[in-house]
Amino acid sequence: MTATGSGQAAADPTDLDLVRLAQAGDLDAFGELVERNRRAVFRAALAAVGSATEADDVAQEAFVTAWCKLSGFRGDSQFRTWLLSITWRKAIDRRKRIGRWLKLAATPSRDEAGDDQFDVMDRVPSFERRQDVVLEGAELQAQIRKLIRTLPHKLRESLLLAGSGEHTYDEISAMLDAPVGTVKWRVAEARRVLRRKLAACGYSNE
Amino acid sequence: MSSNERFSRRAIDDAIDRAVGDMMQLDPHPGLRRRVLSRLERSSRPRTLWTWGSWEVVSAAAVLMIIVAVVGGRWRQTPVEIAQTPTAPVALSAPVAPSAPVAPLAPSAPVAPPVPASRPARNAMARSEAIFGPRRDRVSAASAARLAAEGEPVDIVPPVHEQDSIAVAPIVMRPLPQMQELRIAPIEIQRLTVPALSPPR
Repeated sequence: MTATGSGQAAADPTDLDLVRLAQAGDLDAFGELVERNRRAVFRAALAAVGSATEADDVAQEAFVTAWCKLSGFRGDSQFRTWLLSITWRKAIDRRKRIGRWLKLAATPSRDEAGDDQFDVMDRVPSFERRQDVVLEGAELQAQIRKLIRTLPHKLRESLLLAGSGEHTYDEISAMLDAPVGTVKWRVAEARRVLRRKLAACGYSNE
Repeated sequence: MSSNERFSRRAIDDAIDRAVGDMMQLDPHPGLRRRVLSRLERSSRPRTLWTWGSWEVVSAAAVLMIIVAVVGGRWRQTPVEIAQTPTAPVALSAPVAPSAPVAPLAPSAPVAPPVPASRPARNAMARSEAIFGPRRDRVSAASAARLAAEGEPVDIVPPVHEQDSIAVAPIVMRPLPQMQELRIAPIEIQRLTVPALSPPR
């Protein structure tokens, strides 16, 4: 049993096994950790900075930083969660520096609590819907993407991270430093705001 | 309105999910692992001057400039020391007693020529060349003799060798006479009388 178990560990080492090897200076082990987590790291960065190129740079910086701080990782939490927290901080720093993602975004007039807390409706570009256009296609998708960009930071980040398909609510909670319940509320609130804006544009009866 | 213009809530939710998925279903550029590992390998190598970061180079240059400025400032403030030739200590001759008779001059006494004190060789300045050519009004011994022969008034200075030679008597050391005892007269203090001043008008 023991031999089988160790053989399995050697064949498919866990993240913690790889972390221990990497802490001993094994770059290949760290490379395997990069390979396993690259997509989650990249998409977390993408949710924050909104640009694939910037997200790629952030992911690279996050992995390098993780390598430098690896000696301080004691295994109290999942390596992936720890890595995503580093990534998120890097991404937020990058977003503050370059300020690209929110050029089209509106600044909320109040906090995100309440129904009428956003003044982004004033910034939604009005357009006349043509009766002869079928809206189930690219037009609705483009409109929704545009509206997502006008969401407040916290709602947008929660919605994008939850919709990335790479992160659990626990991981999102750790990244955003917010309880899981708050994250779920933000996702639901983001959907509700989007539906309301789409209704204001005439896409639904809500 | 047609039925196409309105969407159910479910359809809107699906559209939102699709839009979010389209925005987030991206993958990192290929080679992320290789790029990360190459960066880590670069950073683990011993660093050379060319691999230093720009801020390190700038700070090193700043420190170097400060050192150069400090050293240069001190060098400029240092006074220029004039090279003084060490002079031989002057041998003070013993005081000659006023009553001592001066020895008669002995013309036959050979006088040792003064030995010049050995001095370090000075940096001789370059002699200025006659940039205006030879002077025509220069009077030389040859020209004076020629002018005298022609009847021109020429002050002919007798040659130096016709002067009497100067003989210096050797200094003879004689013992000092015994000094007499000095006596100082006591100071007499005289009373000073000042007339009374008249009051001002």
